[in-house]
Amino acid sequence: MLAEAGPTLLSAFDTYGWEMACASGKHVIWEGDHCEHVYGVVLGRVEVYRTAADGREHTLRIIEKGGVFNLVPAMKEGGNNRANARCLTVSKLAVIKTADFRQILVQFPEFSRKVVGLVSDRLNDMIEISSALAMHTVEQRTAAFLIREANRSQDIHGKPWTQDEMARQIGTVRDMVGRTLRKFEEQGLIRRDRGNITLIDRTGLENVSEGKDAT
Amino acid sequence: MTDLNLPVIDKEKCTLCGTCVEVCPEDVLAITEETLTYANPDQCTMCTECEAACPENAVACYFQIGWADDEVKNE
Repeated sequence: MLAEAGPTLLSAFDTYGWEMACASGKHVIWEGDHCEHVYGVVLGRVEVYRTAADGREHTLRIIEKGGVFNLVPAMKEGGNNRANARCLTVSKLAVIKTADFRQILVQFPEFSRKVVGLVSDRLNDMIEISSALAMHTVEQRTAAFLIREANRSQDIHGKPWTQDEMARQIGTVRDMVGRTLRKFEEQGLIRRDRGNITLIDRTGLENVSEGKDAT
Repeated sequence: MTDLNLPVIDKEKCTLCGTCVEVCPEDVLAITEETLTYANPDQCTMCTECEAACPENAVACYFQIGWADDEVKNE
């Protein structure tokens, strides 16, 4: 968010903000609490997630170095945190009070436009997530997740996933992920070999992700 | 470095209850000298039964997701 920021803007953040070191597993914010700070990830990885009434957790996004979170509720005075956030690794966060952040938005219109763009991206992401949860089956979402992660691992070394982590991303429970992966394997869409899930039928998986038959 | 072919044990969470040892169909895990160890690591199929059974969430089975080589070429 502060890439290409000029010295005056950086100075404003230096004046009002501070850094916070967090252990792995530390909860940074809780859903529903009064929104007091905006956070940037200087180092490490932070999971932003929501909790259903039955205790199931759904990962909304993973924030890595350079990313920000708790931005949306900070845009309006009196907002509440819309999600929970916890550090997945040892992390260092840049923190600024929401009132100071809103003051910076007023003082720096160009930065403000950048933030509006970021909020717009977040809104688009949430529309995609809510549409997928409402209209797509677990199988569709699992196929889409596998395709996305396999594509990502072509460019950079992909993150390894537990079935529980997959379930949190997809918005389901661990057992369903296990059953779905077994079904995909029986259908010849994937191959599981100890620590690897290899996608072997791209067309079939894309068909499943779109709600069509695998064949 | 994490070996993706074996369950990862968080020794700070593990209470040595032995549940994972009991459920493992391949006798991969064992408790020896008050430590959870890999008795037969080569037998592990990453079935994830140990991960599902652990009451302390101390076991994690990680999977790397990727395309088969011929599917990468077909992209």
